[in-house]
Amino acid sequence: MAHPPSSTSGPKLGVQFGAYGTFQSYFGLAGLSELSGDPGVMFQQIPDYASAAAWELYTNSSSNTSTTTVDPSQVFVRFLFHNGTTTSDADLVPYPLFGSNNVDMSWNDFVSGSNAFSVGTTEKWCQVCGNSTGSCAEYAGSANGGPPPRASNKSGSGISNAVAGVIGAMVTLGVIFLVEALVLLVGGLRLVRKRKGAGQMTNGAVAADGVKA
Amino acid sequence: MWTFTPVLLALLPTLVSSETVLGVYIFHRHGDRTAKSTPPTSLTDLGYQQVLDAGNYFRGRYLNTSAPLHIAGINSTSVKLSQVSFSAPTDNVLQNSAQGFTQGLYPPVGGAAAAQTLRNGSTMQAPMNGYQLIPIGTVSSGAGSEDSQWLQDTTSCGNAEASSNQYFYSNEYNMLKDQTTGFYQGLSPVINSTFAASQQSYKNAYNSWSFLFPVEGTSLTPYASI
Repeated sequence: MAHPPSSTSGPKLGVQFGAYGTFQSYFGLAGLSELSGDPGVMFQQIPDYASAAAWELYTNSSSNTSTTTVDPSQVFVRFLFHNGTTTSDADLVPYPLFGSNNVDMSWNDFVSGSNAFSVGTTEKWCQVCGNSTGSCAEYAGSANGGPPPRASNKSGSGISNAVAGVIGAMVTLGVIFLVEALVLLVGGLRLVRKRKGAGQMTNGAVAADGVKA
Repeated sequence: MWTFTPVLLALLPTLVSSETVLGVYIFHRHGDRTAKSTPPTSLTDLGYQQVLDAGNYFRGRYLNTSAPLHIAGINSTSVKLSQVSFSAPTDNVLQNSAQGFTQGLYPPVGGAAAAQTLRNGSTMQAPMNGYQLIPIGTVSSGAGSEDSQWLQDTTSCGNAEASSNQYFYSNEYNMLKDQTTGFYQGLSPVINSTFAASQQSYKNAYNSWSFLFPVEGTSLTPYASI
């Protein structure tokens, strides 16, 4: 199967900086803005300067993680957030994702929850965005040329659900790197480069094409 | 002399928690910056301090060997570039925030600690007191976001921009705009240097707010009596 991780393999800590819009897209898509009480209210607002969101990947397995492959079924993900600069007096706080009641989520549940809105390849990004120029030009011929965006339902409630998924495009690159980075960290999984017409997936892996970094 | 206490203390972390953190991904907002209405934006000293403090926090949480959430196998003091990955869009505020953050995470180690021996036997002290150089990779989306008054425009994603624009046709938006007309007209004396009459509305809520209060969370003396 995959190579056992060693202390020198792959990044263990990934950090990306970005604007408030990406936070808000993720909050909406991951169900955080729907949380009851103060947390839900917080996740509907613009996060303060130097706010931080963290996804911790961990295992309770007692096997020595520096010499053996970690079984994905024993890996969990925990999402945490702090509004404004995080310090020891103003700690990260865990929150449940995707409407679950548990802040500790199995790796598989995290991947399937994220896959509901994540965009894993440049080609899919082009398709979702309806872009056909520049780096999307090579995909434009294959029916991904970008039909006009569907009109929103004039139900008077603002942005319709039909186009809500498109907003996810804003967070796509963040989520790509998130899942890619987390996948690399789990010893039992391996990224497989997706070739046209011959998609391959290893056990539980998320296929990702080369996304410009 | 062998003592019992150190052995017991060494066992303590294992007894308290059997959790091993394999890795962490962080998405971080930039520190305090100048207002978008007076471009180009730049990270302020306050913003730099904010990301530095945040980096310090995360060092204590994930890098220190004694931390309960220490990431397995990660270097605590001297960065090992293959273990970390930092990125930000092509934007001065975001790139600088990332850089400031890495300095909180892996602060300078001192010239002597990072000294290296040259082939001729002489010792080379690490420059800048052992300041650790950490590359910040670029993310292709979101370039120039902190200079842009409309974030969605920087995603280069056609349908997302169309989707955001749909908001301006919604009842929710139009109602709020009408309801707050009086409020924004009342702000005119303090924002009309930057916002024309037609721009003094809910449509520019965020930007007029950030113009008036460039530093979030601090109280300013009144600009003028309205």
